[in-house]
Amino acid sequence: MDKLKLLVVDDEPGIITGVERTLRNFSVSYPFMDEDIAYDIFEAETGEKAIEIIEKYSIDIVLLDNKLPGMDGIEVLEYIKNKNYDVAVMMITSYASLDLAVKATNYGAYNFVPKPFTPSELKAAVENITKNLYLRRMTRKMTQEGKEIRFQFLSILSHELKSPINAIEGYLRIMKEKQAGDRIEDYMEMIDRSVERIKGMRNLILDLLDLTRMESGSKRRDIRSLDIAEVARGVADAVEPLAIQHNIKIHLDCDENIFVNADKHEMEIIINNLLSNAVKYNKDNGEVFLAIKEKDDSVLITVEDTGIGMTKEESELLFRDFVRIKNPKTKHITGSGLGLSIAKKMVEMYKGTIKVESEPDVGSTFTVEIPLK
Amino acid sequence: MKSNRKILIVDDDMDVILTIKTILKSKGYDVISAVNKEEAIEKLRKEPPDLAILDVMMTTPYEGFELAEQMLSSDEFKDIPFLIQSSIDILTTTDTKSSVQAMAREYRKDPDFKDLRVLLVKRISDGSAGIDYMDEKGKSHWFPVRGFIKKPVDAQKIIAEVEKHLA
Repeated sequence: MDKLKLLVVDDEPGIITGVERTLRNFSVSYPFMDEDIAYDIFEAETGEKAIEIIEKYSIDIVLLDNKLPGMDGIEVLEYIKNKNYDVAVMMITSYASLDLAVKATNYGAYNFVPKPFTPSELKAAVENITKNLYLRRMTRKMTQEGKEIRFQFLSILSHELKSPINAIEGYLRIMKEKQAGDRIEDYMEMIDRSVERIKGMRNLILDLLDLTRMESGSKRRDIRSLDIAEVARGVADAVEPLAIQHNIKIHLDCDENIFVNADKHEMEIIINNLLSNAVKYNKDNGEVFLAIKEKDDSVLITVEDTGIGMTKEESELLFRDFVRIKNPKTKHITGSGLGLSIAKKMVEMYKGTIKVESEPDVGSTFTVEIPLK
Repeated sequence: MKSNRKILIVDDDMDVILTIKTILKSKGYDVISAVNKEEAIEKLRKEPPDLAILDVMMTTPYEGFELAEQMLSSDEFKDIPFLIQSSIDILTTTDTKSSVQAMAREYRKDPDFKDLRVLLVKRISDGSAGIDYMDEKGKSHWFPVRGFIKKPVDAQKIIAEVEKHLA
């Protein structure tokens, strides 16, 4: 059981013992909380004492009477607000005026409970304030984690954008200084690489657009019944020119009449990212097998290649943002490192799964399974 | 005269390799390359170079440092000098009394440098230099280096640095 520290501030001893008795065995539960929340109860008869306890014990919840001997409850509240303490405050008072209620709300009091109150009214009020505090802290934590992930993403992204710029700048400097002599032919590899890096940068930008549209949910999805074999044939046609350059043969084996409720563009991205990888990471004169099959109320999309394959360690990293497997066999292949992470995110939007099996120098097989219902 | 001098470039970015290769070849050096630690060790063994230039971040974040430490602790490679290539700013010191390692320790006490993963430290007067870094498990490392090459690559600077160590 989790415990929150609850402080009762009142100069009437009867109220303090009443609250203590009511909350002693009380606990609050939420369906998605692992543990129930109970209370450790602290007491103070004056505002000055209350502040001392809040600072010493980092109190979570304060039940605060306004009419106190020295400083008023409202002043304690103002103090808490100015110090920015993460404390939820409930005002309790028998001299409720609109003026006081407005002030209390301005200083961030969670609510305003008139005295006298019954035990069940107190319990209900404490339950509400506890849930509110829990959600507030949870939201803050998640926002912070989100910021960290975002920061990480941006720092990798800036590295990915900087490296082609550095490369091209380096080549241009060499050409300007004619480091490789006067013949243009001696610079061809550098020119080809520059063109390749620019192409890579353009693809990165396109992939980033896919990713941000998907993550912001702003992309209009057009979900309709699609003949998945037809989508696959379209993608295969689009990848064909790349395959021809490396003399790679793409084989299609599609069951007809499998209909998936999906957005066509998204299905194209999934199949395209797998198929173009199967060509890119293949060997010259290699083969690629794209199969679409129905199995147990799911559609299976498998893409198998006869390429360079990868080790188990490499395949475990594969679906993360910006991961590119670097080794002597992949050094001439450019990519954004986002293709598979995008494919995975999209497959998951359809409650599907994506898996890879691979063997170095033999090839890789990617299997996407999307439920049909 | 320099034509038989061989330099190994270890970098996972083939464009960096091609750029440095072109620059150094124009000065008559033989240049070979490797894209990761594993391939580098193979090349060090098969075609021992006169100098190696190591990138830091390859498949793993500190792969270049690991390779450097491995070279320093191996009887086979400890006499092959290497330069570390990095875009991180180099901290310089004019202190002539203490060792560079002691200077790195001084930097670590400064709140501005305390939490940095990597410190590259170099003494201006004699060029002695070293690297203090914290690996992914939070363990501290220190090792001496011959020198640094700042990224992005500048032809004049890289030639000057290489010539200094192969003179």
